[in-house]
This record gives sequence, C-alpha cells and structure tokens, in this order.
Amino acid sequence: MYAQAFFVAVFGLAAIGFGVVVFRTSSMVRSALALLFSQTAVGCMFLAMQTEFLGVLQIMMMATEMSIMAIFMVMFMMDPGGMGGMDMTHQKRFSIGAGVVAAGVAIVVAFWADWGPVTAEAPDAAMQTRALGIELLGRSMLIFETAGVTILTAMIAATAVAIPVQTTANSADKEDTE
Amino acid sequence: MNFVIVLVALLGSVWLLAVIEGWTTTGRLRLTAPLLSGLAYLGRESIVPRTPDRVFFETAPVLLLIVAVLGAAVLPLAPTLVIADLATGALFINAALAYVLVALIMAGWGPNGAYAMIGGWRFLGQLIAYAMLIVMPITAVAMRAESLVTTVIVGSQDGLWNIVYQPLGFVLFFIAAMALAFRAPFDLPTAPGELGGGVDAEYTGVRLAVLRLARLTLVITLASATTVFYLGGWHGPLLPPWAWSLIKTLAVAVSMLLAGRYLPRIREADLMRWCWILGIPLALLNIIVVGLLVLVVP
Amino acid sequence: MIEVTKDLPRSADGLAMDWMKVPFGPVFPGLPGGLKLTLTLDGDGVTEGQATSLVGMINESEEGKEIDAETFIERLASAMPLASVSYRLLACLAIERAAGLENDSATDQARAVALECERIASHLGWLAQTGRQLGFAWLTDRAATLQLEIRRASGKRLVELTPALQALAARLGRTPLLKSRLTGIGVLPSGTAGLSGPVARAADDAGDAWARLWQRLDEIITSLDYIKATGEPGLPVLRNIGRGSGTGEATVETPRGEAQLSLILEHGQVKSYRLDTACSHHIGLVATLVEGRELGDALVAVGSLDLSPWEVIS
Repeated sequence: MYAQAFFVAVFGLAAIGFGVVVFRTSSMVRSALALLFSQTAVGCMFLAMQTEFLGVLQIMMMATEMSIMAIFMVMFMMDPGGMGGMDMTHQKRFSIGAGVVAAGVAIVVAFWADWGPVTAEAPDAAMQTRALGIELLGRSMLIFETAGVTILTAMIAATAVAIPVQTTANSADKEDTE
Repeated sequence: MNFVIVLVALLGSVWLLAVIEGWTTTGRLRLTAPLLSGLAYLGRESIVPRTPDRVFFETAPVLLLIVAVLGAAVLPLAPTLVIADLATGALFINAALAYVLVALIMAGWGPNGAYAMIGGWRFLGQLIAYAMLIVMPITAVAMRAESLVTTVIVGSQDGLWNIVYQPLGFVLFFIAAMALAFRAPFDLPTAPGELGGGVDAEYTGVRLAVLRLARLTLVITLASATTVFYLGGWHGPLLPPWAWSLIKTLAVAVSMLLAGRYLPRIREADLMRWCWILGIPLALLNIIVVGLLVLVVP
Repeated sequence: MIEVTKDLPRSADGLAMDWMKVPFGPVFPGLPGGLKLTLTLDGDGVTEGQATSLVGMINESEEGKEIDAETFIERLASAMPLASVSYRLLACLAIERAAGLENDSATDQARAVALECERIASHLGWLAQTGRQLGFAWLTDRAATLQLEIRRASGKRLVELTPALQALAARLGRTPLLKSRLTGIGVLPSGTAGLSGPVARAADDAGDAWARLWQRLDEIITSLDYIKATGEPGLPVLRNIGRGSGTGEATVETPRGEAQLSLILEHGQVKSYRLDTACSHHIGLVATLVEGRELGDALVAVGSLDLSPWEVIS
C-alpha cells in the first residue's frame, strides 16, 4: 500500500516535472519529447495503480504520437532546435489565471467528491483486460467504432484540405514568386 | 534470480551474435573479438560534436539499451524462467519497442549533424511502414492463445507452432522485426553507403560501444519475440526448455543477419509502398484467417 | 510564422524548410574516393547538387617544359590509378603515331587483350563499390575477390574464371529488391550530350542505373569472349621511337568511355599534350541527375555513372 502510494507520487512528480520542461526549453524537439516523457510517467502511474492494460497502452501510444508531433514541429516551425532561444510561453497573465483556477477546481473536486469505498483488492490484470475487452466489444462498441471512423475521416479530410489544389492560376502564381 | 539468468542469457546471445557477425564479414571465427573491440572502444576518445543537444546525445544509446532489455523482460526462456510474466506481455513488448523510435530520434537530433538527423527522421518514416506489421500479427497470435500472457502464448503452440498455424503472420512479423531492428536491408537510419553511418555517425568511444551493444541486444530481443510468438518458444524434444529457446532465438537472429548480407538496401519509398499496399491488407487477411480457424476448428 | 517562411524557397511538396548544404565525400563510403559531392538538401530530398574532383589532372602541360616520352607514359598511367593500363596504352599509341610508327598487329592484339582485362577488372571494381553503396555485402565481397583474381590472371586463367563471372551476373539477375532499387534511377536518355562508354551504350536501352548495371555485366562477358578468341594479354610498352618528331592523336575506349590524347613530340620529348576523358563530361551530368531526387536515389544515380575522380580533367 505504501509502496504503491510512493510510486504513484514519484511518477506523478515526474509527470509534472517533464510538463514544466515542456515550457522551460526553447527547443521544439525537446519540448515535444518532454511532453512524451510526461505522458509516459502518467502511463507509469496507471501501472502503479494496478491498471496494467491502460498503463501499457498509454506508454505505447505516446511514444509514436509525440514523435510524430515532434516531426511536425520541425517541419512547420522555424528554429526547431531553439538556437535562437525562443520563449515557449505566451499570454502569461491569462495562462497563470487559468492554471490557478483549474488547480483550485481539481483540489476542490478531489476533496468534496464522494469516492465511494476504497477497493481493497483490485481484480488481477488478466481479469481487467478481459473485462475491458468485453466492454469494448459489447456495450461500448458503437461509441468506439463511431469515434474511430470519425477521427479517420477527419484525418483524411484534413490532409485533403492541406494539399493545395493545382490549377493553372496558382501554378502561374507560383512561378512568379520563384 | 530469474533476472540474473535472463540477463546472462541475453548477454551471452549478444556475444555469440557478435562473433557470428564478425565471422560472416571477416571470414575468421574469433571468440574474443567482440570483447576486445568492446574494450578498445572504451579506450578510445569519445568525441562530442559541436553544439549538440547534450541531453539527447547522452540519453539515446542508454535508452536504446534499456528498451531492448525491457522488451526481453517479458519473453520467457522456459515455463518459469521469465523476468516479468505480465498479463499484458504481448502488448508490453510493443510498448517497450515503441521507444526504439524515440531513442533513434534523439540519437539523430542530438549530435547536430546532417547525416544523423536525416537518419533519425528516416526511422520515423520507417515506423509508419512497419508498426502495423508488428502489431497486427501479434494480435492474431494473441487470438489463438486467447491471452496476452507470453507464457500462455507459448503454451498455446504445444503440438502446432504458430509458424505452421499462421505462416503469413510469421513472414510479416519477421520482416517488420528486421525493419524495427534496422538491420540490412532495412538499415535506412544508419545506411553506411548513403548517410555514412547516419545515427551512428557522430558517436565514438564509450557511447558507440553502448550503441552497438544496444543494437545487438535489440536484435536478440526481436529474435526472442519471434521465437515466443511463432516458433513454439521452449517446446522441443530432448534438450531442456531454456536450451531450445536459446537455440531458436540465435537461429532467428542469425537468419536476420544473413538475409541482410544477400540483399541490397531497400528504397525508402518502396518500403512504405509495399508495407501499406501489400503488408497491411495481408496482415488483416491473416487476422481473418486465424479468427476463422480459431472459431471453426476446435 | 508566415513572415519568417514567406521568402524561403519552396520545395516540391510546398513546405518551406531550412535547406542544408551537405558535403558527401571526398571520403564517403558510398562514393569513389576523391569525388566530392555537394548536395543542397531539403529534408531528405535533393534540391541541387554538383560534383567536383579533388584529385583530377590539370590539362595544360607546363610552358616550355619537355617530358621524356617514357616518363610521360609512366606519369599518365600512374595519374589514373583506376584505369592505368588504358591510359598507358593511350599514351603509347599517341607517341608512336607522333613518331610515325606503323601499327604492328601482334603488339596491337596483346595490348587489346590487356585493355579488355582491365575493363573486366574495372567493372568488377564498380560492382564492389555499388555493393558498398547499397549495403549489399555479398556483392562487395564477391566482386572484390574476382577483381583481385582477374588483375593477377593470365589469359588462360581468365577463361577459367568465365563460369564464376557468369554466375555473378545470373545471381544479380535473381537478387530481390535490386531491380526495384535501380530501375528508373538516374535516367540519361540516348540524346544526352557528352555520354560515352557504358553509360552511352546503356542509354540506347532504358538509360537508367539498372540498364547501366546490365551493360557493364554484358561487357564483362563480351570482353571474356574476346580474350578467349585472341590470346594472352601484354602490358603496353613503348616501341622504339628513336628521336622522332611530329604530332600524334590516339583514342582508346577505356572502361569508363572514350579517352582522347593529342600531343606534340619533338626529338623523343613530349612538348605539349591535350587529354580528353569521358569522366570529365560525365561529372557535369551529376547536377541534372540528382535534382529533385530522394537522397538515396541521388547517390545511387551518381554511383551508377562510375565516375573516376582521377580521370576528370580540369
């Protein structure tokens, strides 16, 4: 029990620490990878809280997602290496205010919410995985399938929109700028 | 105790693989060569390039090594000889190996060199090609075992190995595993003839020693995964279970080594195209076929 | 962001990125030593590039300095380490013609066999280099071993090596991935100016790296057939020219294409000369070959030209 609390705390602090690094660096790639390790620490928190499947899934998904984000940073941002010492923070007043309010709300919810009786013994990981599988392919199947197809459609649409349409007008325009 | 045994087995396999690799390239069988060249690396100057991203540069080789060892931690050598018999073992190995990409991006970005950077980002493209071909065949394997536990997966192959039960999955997984371990002909991120070593290019001395060790460990881990998922793990007559696991793992690792020797490096565009146009539909077909077999054949 | 990127040049995919100027060579594993390729990279795409030789010869002979004919031959041969027999032959022919000697069929035959031997060795050297570039370790080992054997071989031994060379060609035809790696890379259509040697002959076919590979493999077999029919090789040695004078011009089909030498001989001394080689023209084609290609493809295209930086005359 104490060991569990200890690991949850350690990974929680690691998640916060990496989260801070996201804004404290001026390198876009470092920022993206700091976010990755922050999310990995959250995955480790899941593991410490005995939700093995979710934890492993979180750790797996974040590696590729954040790496892909990093390459988008490199593609679209000038100075992705932070050689010019760019500041990652902006709208400081608003973000400080929003941060304080969100933290307050989280604390209030944590203390006031009725968390129910503490589960003494979590079901073992194999049981959890099985239950999750049955949930995903039973009651929630429609929700998840709809969400999945929607996201896929959105990705394809976004890509299609991002590709400039080749017409004679704008290819002539392009030659002008060259 | 298991931890020590598995680690020793891993190191021993890496050493044997390095000996065999030296044998195929130089034609001489020298058992001490990997140890000597390892020691030689320690004695050499370890150069840090100009204006590196120091954190990434230092972390990358170590992260790659940790990831390879973590992957091996869920793979059983014998029914009880496994470091962590996780309930989500088959998923965990994917999670661990996803960080190979992170390590390579760090190794590519860290040294502030053009060859390394192109190599690192190339591997991200490579991931998009191979990732589905790692995950989908494992899905089919887990379907037959009705479990993600690696020991149960090996147990499910008693009598009929998965290489016979789902040969298509085996072929796809083997190719994807080679791409994940960036062995020739999929060595796009290192590509000596194109990038002069790519992500390896700027590493020297101790750091290069760690990087080389990590790469060989990664090959052994993936060979071990192939053994566990497709070659019946520890199953085999006469010899003790751990011996069978080691023999099969080494055989797979050596076959990965030799395949690269007799093939030219694949074009990046071809890798993407074939993986997406051919690989993913085949992997889906594999899942359907295995699903039908599991449901129809008792 | 738009302000920062608006003046940057756009690449084919429309993304504005920092372009990098990256040197490949003069000592790069995938390229012949001494060749320096400078590529401007946009991601891993090449936007422009050019090749220069750091070890090439300078054409003009020093003013008023006369070189002894024998010395001239030795110098020219050692200046071209990748095709020394061809250039030795070229120098011998040019000097003999300048001295007014008639052709001697026995010598000519031995010389021609030596030239064909070198052609086989040179093409095998190119195969080994290509193997290194493509990460095809077996090809590098096999071609390098055969090349060493051929350089040492007598005419008879060469004929014995024929099955091994045919097997090598057959093996390459069966190698998976090789065709898709080379087809459509570095296309030089037959009308391109300045083509010579295997590159020009392959241009009549598809003109890509795959066609050039097969052109060279075919030439190996053709040369072997010639050697089989003709006889023993004899290293070109200058015949007795006395203290002849005159102007002479000779052309030799070296392994990399046509080389032409014209020189003025005075009392057995070479007064001035003018050398033209295939590689001097081929190196200029690099810029068009690499433009807009993926980095790996660009390097394969450059490699398929079989440039010898020593044979680039500036």
